[in-house]
Amino acid sequence: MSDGPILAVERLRVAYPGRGGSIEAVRDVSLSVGAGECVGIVGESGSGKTQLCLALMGLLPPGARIEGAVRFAGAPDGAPRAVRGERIAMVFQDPQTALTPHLRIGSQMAEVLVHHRRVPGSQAREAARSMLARVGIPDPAGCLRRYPHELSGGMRQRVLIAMCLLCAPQLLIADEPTTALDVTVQAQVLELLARLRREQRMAILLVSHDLAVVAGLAARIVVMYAGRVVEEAPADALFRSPRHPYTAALIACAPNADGPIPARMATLPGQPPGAAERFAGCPFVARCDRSSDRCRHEPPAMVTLDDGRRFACHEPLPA
Amino acid sequence: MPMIRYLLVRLLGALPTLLAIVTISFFLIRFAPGGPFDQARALPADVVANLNAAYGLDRPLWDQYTTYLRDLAHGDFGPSFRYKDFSVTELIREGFPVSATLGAIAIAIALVAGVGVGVVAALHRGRWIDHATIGLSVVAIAVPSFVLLPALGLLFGIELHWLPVAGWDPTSVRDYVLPVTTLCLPPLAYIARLTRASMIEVMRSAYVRTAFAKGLPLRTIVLKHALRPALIPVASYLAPAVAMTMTGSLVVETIAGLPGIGRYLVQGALNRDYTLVLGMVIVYSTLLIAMGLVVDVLIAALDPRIRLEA
Repeated sequence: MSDGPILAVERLRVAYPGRGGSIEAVRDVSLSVGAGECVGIVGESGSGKTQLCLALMGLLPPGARIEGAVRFAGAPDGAPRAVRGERIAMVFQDPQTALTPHLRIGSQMAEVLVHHRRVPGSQAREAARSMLARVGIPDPAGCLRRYPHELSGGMRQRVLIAMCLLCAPQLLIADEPTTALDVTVQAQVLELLARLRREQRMAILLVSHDLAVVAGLAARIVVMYAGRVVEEAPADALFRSPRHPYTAALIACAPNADGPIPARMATLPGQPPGAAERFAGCPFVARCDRSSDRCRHEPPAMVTLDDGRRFACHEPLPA
Repeated sequence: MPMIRYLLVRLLGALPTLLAIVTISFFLIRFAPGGPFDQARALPADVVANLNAAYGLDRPLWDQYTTYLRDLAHGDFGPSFRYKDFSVTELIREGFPVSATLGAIAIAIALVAGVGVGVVAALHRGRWIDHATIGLSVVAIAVPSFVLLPALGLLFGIELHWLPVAGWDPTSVRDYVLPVTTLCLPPLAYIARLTRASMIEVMRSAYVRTAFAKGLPLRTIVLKHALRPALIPVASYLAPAVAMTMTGSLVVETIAGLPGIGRYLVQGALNRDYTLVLGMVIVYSTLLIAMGLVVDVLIAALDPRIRLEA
């Protein structure tokens, strides 16, 4: 972290103006990712994780209104959009639909290098072949000739990861990279990401609704709720002593394979608020067991501690 | 090899379909009131009897049907009842190339221009060029050819003297312009709308988002990743459109004085020209079945997930 963060996001807002009022998908999110670091983002469905990722890549649909600043150190003018696919790459949630159905794997991979590196097609295909071998595809040469529908979900996600790595990006954004995969394949893909991060000295922004997925890989974890960051901490500290009640609830809900099997799995009752909802106080108040009167009326400000932890809560759990 | 097998099986399967169409059409037109020799002033009874005997209409209907099928199997569509001294085979052989040529040119133009317009509209969705495309396509589909062709003739023929209003010389390109324009506008507009709709959907798909995330230029994304899947609905529309356009248009061919087959179906039906109607039905259905087959192969080529299985 000597040379500063590679990605810095400041007070990012993503909103969709509409007739019935604006839909706020991302509200005032600030975060940073250091070079070679793995940062995890955790939150329920609808907490704005994917919208945040798309905003970072400059891939939001035309109707979106974006405020705040995104600075990417790898881009000449700081805008990630200009270097996407080259220095910043993204793996999406659903590998079933993320590859173009009518193009062979070789063609879809080679075009990345042909476009960004101006290399001849044969050379690009050779690079694609060796990258497929690195991500653990058994018959890389044969895979280049395949169509996406001829591969399994896990294979397709490997292909997509390999495709992202062709230009050796400085940052990989992985949005729920294992959610659509079988549990055994999930572990393999996570191991692969960990290995590639070491080998390529690449930063990873790993997004998941599943704390367990993020825990193994990320050194630092950002917890999002209703479009905002509610807590951020080093991974071990977060699990040891969560400060925000929402984080504590998430950890309590995660099944623990080592402990005794509970008669009933812990759940967090209620629903997160919709993106169109307005609230005077804390967005978590309705589901929180520590809420006070103040939580209902006054939005909690972000408190940053000396050790780099931060949280937004009026009634935090004791450290 | 599976491709050839597929085509053979499908072609064999088309024969019963064709037989059913011929059978239904044969009996339908026979059960329609009136006959080929009815005129405003009734002919003497003995003349009608002689005519019926000459054309075999006095024999039992089932007998006539089997005779017709036997002749058909030998490529003989029978004599026309109205065009004296012409067989239906001769009429179609002379007229079909004219209609088919005009129709093929019109569909080719409609396909290329329609896809182009549709793609541009989809990429500028919600902007003026998109609204203009939708508006003009409604006009192009709604204005009937009996208005469009005379209007074009009035403007480019009679006012500006650029093009002939009517007449036919197969070697003169100028004779093609107005009828081809009239024929191609409705399918062009329809193809543009189909392309626009499917292109908008494909541009929202996950794999197009991946292509954008890869940092590819818009040109590559549209031409390489989006266009092929967007063309599948257009391909499905092509089968009926080609069959319809290549068998000619009664209105266009009558107004422009073209010696095609466009008028035979309607005239044949009105005149109770039994053999001519059946001949036209056979030409049209054969073309439709053949185009259906071509389109299936085309769609399989557009999408590798589709396998042709007989």
